[in-house]
Amino acid sequence: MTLREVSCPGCGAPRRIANPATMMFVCAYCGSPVYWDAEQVRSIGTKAALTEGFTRLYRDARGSLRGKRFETLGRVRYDFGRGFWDEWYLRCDDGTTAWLTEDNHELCLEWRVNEFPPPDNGFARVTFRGLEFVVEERGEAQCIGAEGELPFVVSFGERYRYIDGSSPDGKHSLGIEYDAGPGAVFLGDWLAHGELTLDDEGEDWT
Amino acid sequence: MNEPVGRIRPTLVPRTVRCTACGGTLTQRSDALRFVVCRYCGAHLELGDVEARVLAKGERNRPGFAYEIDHAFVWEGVRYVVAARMVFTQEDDGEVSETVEYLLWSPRRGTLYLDYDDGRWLLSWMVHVMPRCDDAFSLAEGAHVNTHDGQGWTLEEVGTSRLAYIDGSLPWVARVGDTVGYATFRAAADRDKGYEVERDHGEIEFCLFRAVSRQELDVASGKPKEPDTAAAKPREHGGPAPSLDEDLEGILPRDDTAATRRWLLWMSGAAACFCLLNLGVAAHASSSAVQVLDRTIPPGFKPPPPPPPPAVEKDEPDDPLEPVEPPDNSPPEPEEVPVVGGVELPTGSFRLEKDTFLRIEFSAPALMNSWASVDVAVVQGDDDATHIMDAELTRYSDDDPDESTVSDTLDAWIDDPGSYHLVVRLLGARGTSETGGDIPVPVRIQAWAMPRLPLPFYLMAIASGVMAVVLFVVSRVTGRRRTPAEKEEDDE
Repeated sequence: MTLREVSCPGCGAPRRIANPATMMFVCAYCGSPVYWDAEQVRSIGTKAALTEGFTRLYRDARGSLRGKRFETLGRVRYDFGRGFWDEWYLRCDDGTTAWLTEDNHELCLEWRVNEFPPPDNGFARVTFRGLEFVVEERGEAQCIGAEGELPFVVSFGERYRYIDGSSPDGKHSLGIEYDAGPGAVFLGDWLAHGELTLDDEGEDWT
Repeated sequence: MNEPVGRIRPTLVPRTVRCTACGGTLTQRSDALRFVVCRYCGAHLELGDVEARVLAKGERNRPGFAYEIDHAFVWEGVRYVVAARMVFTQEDDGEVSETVEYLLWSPRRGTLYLDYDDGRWLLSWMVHVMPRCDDAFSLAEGAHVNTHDGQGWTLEEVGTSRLAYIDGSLPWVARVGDTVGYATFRAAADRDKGYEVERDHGEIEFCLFRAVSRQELDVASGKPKEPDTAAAKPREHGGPAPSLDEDLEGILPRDDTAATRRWLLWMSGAAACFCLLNLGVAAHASSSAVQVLDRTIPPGFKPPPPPPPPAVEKDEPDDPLEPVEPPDNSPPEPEEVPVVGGVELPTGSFRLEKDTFLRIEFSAPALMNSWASVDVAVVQGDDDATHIMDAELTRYSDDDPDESTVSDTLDAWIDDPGSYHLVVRLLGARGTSETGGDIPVPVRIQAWAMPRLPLPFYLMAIASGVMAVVLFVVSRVTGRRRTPAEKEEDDE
């Protein structure tokens, strides 16, 4: 396993980066979001630390997802006006990465597909890869924080419109993001609680 | 090779937020909870990153609930607590019914909903399974529908629920008056199971539910088994549902902290008003004082000698045989010691009414590096001294200004009406001589008479002031009463 060690430009704390796809991390000590380009490590400048302890997943947790071992590398939090959802960045022991959405403790395993969404004309149903999805929610979201390592540089405060939906059988999820570009489509699976286990579930919370 | 070890789970430490409306300290169990109702003043608060924003004032009439906020339930081995309590109303053909909903929350599992509806307890949870129809809300009651997981349902009711009351905290922002459309189905095979489609603000949600017996509820909530009071009462469908108070009166405790605090604040305010009223009356009484004496005694003043007493003829004993009292050879009373130095004079007389407050002020503004002593007697009629008081006036250039006294006030409460005058003895000296003589500077004597307020008035003023302060402090302490969760933690 190749390890890179970088220092936070904000506080100097060292961080070892194991995932080659990591483009950014939030310093665990000072909360500075840090990214790097070809020349050097830079700080975005805005503090972006999130409070911990309130979610099922947590940074640097280890567990099993559908029988595959993983660890959580980072998290991005989005605010949709009436609440939050978190997106967790996972690295599996086989080297693959994955995104888990945790919305009010419902977990959804998502991946981006190479398709563009149709224009949002108020459609109630949409089909991707031969699978029909029903729109459950439309709204506008804003990235309000992040922690750990991430495979892209987060733009804090950036807003975008989104559409969430599910397949009628309730097994698959749909996420559409409309940003400045043509938009992105994410398909996923809703996870039953037992499909993901953590080494430290923390069920003994008080 | 050993597998890498994950980080230890960070501790769940509830955050503390302060109510923007009343300053009460509230516990935020999760940073995902965006909305909280202040448990003290009932204000509805939207929790931001920095501060809480007041969305609405608190409800004055709080319905009774079977379970308090933070009450713990264990479902299938998972601990949940009551995070919020909501009352929804539904209107059907002019008849209003009521549903009570408890939001049960676990930081690891999310939310369950415990409803008390139409005399039954229901436990529901969110799913994403959808019905095999285009629009569940356009179906006729009694219609049969299958969901995409193969289960069959019968449409029981379509309607709109209105949020009528809420307390606790929620992971979303809610407002009283929010409406949600619902279509409720019952399982074709099992009437105790159901399915519901809800929509509001363009969002559509689905949930499954099942009936929960009172006994099952008691086990889950850790309460001893009790008679199935709530479930046993038959209720006509569609009629106004009695509140849980009516069902569970006498069985369940009620949390009246907020009401108590409001009552204490009301009482504190009333006591403060009463105190202010008393102070106002006292101020008015003071302003109606009448000056009855104003006289300045210059240095070296000598009062005219008193007229000689009339000659008294010696009484002859009526009976020569009656024994004659021996002469009084006891020493004179101290008051009868003749004045040495200084001046003693009577003032002019003035009339005082019954229950009058007499204020006498002595002032010597020219006093410098000298002292003056004043003894004064309030005399009723010719020689009935009712009050004897004294005052000291001093000022020295090297004194602290706070220690100098060039004026002093004496008060006397007059009980009986009549003609009064003062007998004043003035003594003084320049420098620090302890031997008194004539007063070194003029001394002004003024007296005012004002109606005396009855003693109960003063006692009431003091009592109301003390009561206002005590009630206010108690209301603040009540506002910081520990939450049930905190008590539980402390007990553990």
